[in-house]
Amino acid sequence: MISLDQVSVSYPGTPAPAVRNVSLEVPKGAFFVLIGESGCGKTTTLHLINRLIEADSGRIEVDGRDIRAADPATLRRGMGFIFQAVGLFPHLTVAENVGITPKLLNWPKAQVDARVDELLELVHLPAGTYRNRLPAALSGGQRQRVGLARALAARPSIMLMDEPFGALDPLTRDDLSAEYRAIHESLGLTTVLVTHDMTEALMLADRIAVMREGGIVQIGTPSDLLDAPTDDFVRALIETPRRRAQRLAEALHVSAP
Amino acid sequence: MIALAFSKLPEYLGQHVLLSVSAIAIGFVISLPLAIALSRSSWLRGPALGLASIVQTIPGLALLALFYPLLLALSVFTERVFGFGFRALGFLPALLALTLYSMLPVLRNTVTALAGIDPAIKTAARGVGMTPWQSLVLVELPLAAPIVMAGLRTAAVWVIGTATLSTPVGQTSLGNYIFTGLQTENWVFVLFGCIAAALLALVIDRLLALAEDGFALRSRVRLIVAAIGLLLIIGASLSPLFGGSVQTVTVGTKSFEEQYTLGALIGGRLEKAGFKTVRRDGLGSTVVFRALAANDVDVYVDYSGTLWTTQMKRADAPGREAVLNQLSQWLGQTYGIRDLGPLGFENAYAFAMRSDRAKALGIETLRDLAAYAQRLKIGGDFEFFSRPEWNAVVKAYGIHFALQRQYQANFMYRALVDGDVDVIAAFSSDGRIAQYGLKLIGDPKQALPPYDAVLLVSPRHANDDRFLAALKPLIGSIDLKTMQQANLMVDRPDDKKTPEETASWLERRIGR
Repeated sequence: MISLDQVSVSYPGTPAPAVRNVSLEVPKGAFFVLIGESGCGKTTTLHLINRLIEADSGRIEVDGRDIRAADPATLRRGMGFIFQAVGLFPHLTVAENVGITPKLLNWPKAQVDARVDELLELVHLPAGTYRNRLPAALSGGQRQRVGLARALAARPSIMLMDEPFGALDPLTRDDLSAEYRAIHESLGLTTVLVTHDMTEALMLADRIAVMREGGIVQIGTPSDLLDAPTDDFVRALIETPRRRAQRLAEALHVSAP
Repeated sequence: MIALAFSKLPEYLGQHVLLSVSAIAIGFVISLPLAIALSRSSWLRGPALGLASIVQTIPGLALLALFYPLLLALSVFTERVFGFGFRALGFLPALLALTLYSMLPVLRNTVTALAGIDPAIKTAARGVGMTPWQSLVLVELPLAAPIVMAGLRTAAVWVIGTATLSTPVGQTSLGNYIFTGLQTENWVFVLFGCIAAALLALVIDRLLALAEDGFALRSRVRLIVAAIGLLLIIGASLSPLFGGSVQTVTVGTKSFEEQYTLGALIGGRLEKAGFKTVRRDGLGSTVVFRALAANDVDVYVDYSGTLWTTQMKRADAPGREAVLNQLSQWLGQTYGIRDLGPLGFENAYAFAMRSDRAKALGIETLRDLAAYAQRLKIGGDFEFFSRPEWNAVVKAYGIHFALQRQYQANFMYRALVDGDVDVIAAFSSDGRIAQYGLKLIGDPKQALPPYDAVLLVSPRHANDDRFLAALKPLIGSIDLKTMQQANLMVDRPDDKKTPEETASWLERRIGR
């Protein structure tokens, strides 16, 4: 379980806090989505959880323990982290990228190798073909699959994902997000995912937190949000997918012979 | 001539490689951590890179020259305070100057490379659980390595080239070919030195380029080949330097042909007496004197008038014998330097003109010359116009020329003959005065002191009888005519002799 209690953080040189008095709870095994427009503080909130950013005030706990008590590097080795730019290490092979966290944790080499092969199969990149390739020789979708495998390598129970599918073409994106949802279920992960795409949020999430200007506007299940949006902003946001579907239908209708 | 050049290659190349490689290695070991520190502190980066750039703008020769007095002062200080000194001449000043010189490219390239790493990759390194140190070693440095290596290559080429300038501060290098060759108009030597230094730079550059590719392409084979190649070259170059460890004595020379010949003569006699000698050729006039006083040089030939004016700071002219006696006493009392006595000839500053020109203007003495001087051009060597002798002449005769030009000593004579200048401050023992039939201008007011060549011995060997016995026969053994003839043998364009060959000829003439 992850819990944030009255957490705030400001960036130096900016007047308004990036995150202000945020409190939320992510139950074990939940698929939790943070959604909002650009600059609303959703990525900052995610980065607070593995201490890529340190909170100015408030308290963050993971499995009941204050994360400030842990060494940041050790804390991060226990959580998978994926972001839009992927950030594969260009000088390391696919296998070396995937095996990096186990290596940092001093796993025996044979165990790392076996884990790498297992994960490459899981993300549908046959180990025989892809093991020794460099990231430069992969497509965008393949890179994000490697990024996913790398995040899962050290068997984390928590996954932090920052618009992981944002830069992919629509087909790959749908495939990969569906595959990930299945992985989330089968491995019993707790996932916190950041997106600005409400369709993605509604399809993946157990719980959604809507953020705006550094604060949380509403937290609830997808149906909570659909049935009882707290204000016009949430209503507008939640209705985007439906509105788009309507416009799509109209467009198809008009252009039909 | 080429055979002679090759015979000196093991020593010159070995010293050159030892110096350059040490400077590059120390520079790299300092620059890399410094660059890493700078890449983490943006407010220090500007000033530090600025400072390194300023060092780079100092001409190489000047930077080398600056380190000698600095180290000398430091050596005197440690001698007084801690009871030990160190050699301020030769390897150390050259090493420090070249180390400073080598730092900028590595510093700049490393800072640039680290700053240019994609922030996403650094975020990913933290995200997968790397500590800052692990991120540096496992991710940032490997990614920066090709650019860092490119900086190291630039540094290596600069240092190997600039190391040729370490000859005048007493460090043997491939520059010895160039400096000796320039002084004795031995163009084969000059060319040989240039080509040797260029080839060395080229080979090292190619090997480092191979290593750079090795890092960029993750090719172990390239890295291994480059490392083996570098080790072989460095090992082979250095091996001649580690012969026996007999105690050596150092023979110093200033930077003109007469000095090289006398250096070879002195060295030859000491070798025959069982000493192992090393030469420090082409030293600056004051540098060699200070080096003698500090026991960095054990023996060299200076000229009484030079020491009289520049070291004793005397402006009077009490006569030849008095100058010799007072000088000898002063050297012993002030520095513990042993003045063995005059060799028998003078190498005085003497103003010279083309005979036809002097005749046409009716010039016999400096007094006559002063009347025409405002319309005439004068040439001198690099130090003459800043020496007290020149001030004394100006004061005594009220002489002012339209133009002063500075020349490498041996180009000066040609400039006079070709009419580029009307008068030169020549050297009386120079064989070219007779060769070109130049007119020497009289100095009735004796503004110029006498310049007897005197043999000076360092405090360390001042009472070493075996050492002194080897050199004493040289006293009073070389008259002006003999020295002029010897100098001409080295200077003349046809049937040119090396200083070593000329020294053997002198040795036979002396016959003692």
